[in-house]
Amino acid sequence: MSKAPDFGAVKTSADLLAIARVMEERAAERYRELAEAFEVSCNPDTSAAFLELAESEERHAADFPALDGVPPVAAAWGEEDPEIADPDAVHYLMYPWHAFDLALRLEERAVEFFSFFAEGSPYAEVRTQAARLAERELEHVAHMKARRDLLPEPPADWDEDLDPPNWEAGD
Amino acid sequence: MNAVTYSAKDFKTEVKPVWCPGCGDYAVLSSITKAFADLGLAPHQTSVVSGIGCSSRIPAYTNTYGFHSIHGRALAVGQGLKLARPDLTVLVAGGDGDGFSIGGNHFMHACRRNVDLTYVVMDNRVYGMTKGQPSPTTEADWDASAMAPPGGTGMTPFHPLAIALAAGANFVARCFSGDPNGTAEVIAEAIKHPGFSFVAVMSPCITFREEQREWKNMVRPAGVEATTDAAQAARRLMTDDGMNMGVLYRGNRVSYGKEKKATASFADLEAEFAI
Repeated sequence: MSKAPDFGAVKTSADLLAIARVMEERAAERYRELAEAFEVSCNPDTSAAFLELAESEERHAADFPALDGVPPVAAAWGEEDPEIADPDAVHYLMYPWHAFDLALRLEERAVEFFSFFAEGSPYAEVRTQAARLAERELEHVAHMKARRDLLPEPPADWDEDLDPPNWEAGD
Repeated sequence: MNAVTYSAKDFKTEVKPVWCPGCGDYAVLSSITKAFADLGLAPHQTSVVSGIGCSSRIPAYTNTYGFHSIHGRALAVGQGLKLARPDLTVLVAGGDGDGFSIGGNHFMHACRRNVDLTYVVMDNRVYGMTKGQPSPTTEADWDASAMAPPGGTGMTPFHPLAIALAAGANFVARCFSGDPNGTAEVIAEAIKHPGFSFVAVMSPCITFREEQREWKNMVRPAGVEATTDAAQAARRLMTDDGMNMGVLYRGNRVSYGKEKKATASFADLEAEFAI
């Protein structure tokens, strides 16, 4: 359902920085929601992982100039923000490893997004700024991979629930 | 438009949703609050009314006037609220069981009455709160839960959009929770459209209907402009596969109550009740 980013809507470096700030803020908000969802679902370790991710995104957002209201170019990347965790990508039994793995994939999407502008924008200053932002997101990718790899990989049967909420007919 | 602008976050409360991780209703909550913010509304100008069920917990999570009412009766409460307080933006929300089974009768007559409100149904084709019974929109042969009869219910699923259209709803749309920005746009349009606006949101219940994770690969934009012709809308609805998203019908009926004029003063009415 996604639309391609709108090159025409991002004319200046400031426009792109505003988008970057909104992306980080929205990612933080979504991670915080997931942290709360896992807390309510009695999965405190994964909740803590999402909280760590939310705080990390909040720090990233603070690197950019504060916005005065919603930027006019907030929807320039189409219907889906590249760095927002898809709520459908989670499972109530998932491990912290999965949370960081999800974040890793989302950071990779952010690299793709800024690279798209770095290569395709008709405005030179946008291309330059986008290249810088893509580099920055690459650092986040490396950090996220390192963070994920600090954790043990989940067992193969990680999503097997011995007391499932929905037992199958015939069980 | 208000002098002070509110963000989507201003329309959320501090109460933590108790929905399962991955529930589509999180995204619908975000879409509703984004729609309010995008329309330039203030929390005190909005209200969210619900019935009973997982999705019906939404008034607790929205910083608006709210009423978590009784099972199937959210539309009755919402219509009463709108008629008493026409200045309020009234959004009624709930699930498929609450809206189409327990509240099925209210649903049809709310469409007919055409009070100026927006009804958002988060349809996951299952009763989630009570652990997985088939709902009116469940497929006839679904029996993956021990809570379903062997072989499924054998009943044709309720077609809420076609029924809304046939019953007189003035705006009919279908959305997917996996597209929260698109859903917010449609909800905002539904709020602005006069009369009864019905927005059916496919909102996966990944706990009891894990196969609904696939919806994100199945939905698509409707690919046609919304029509104002009810007969054309009906043909489209009855021939699509349920995966076409977007605004499907925009009617032009006058909202209930708009043409009515007061025939007595408030003092006269009060006098009739004097003992």
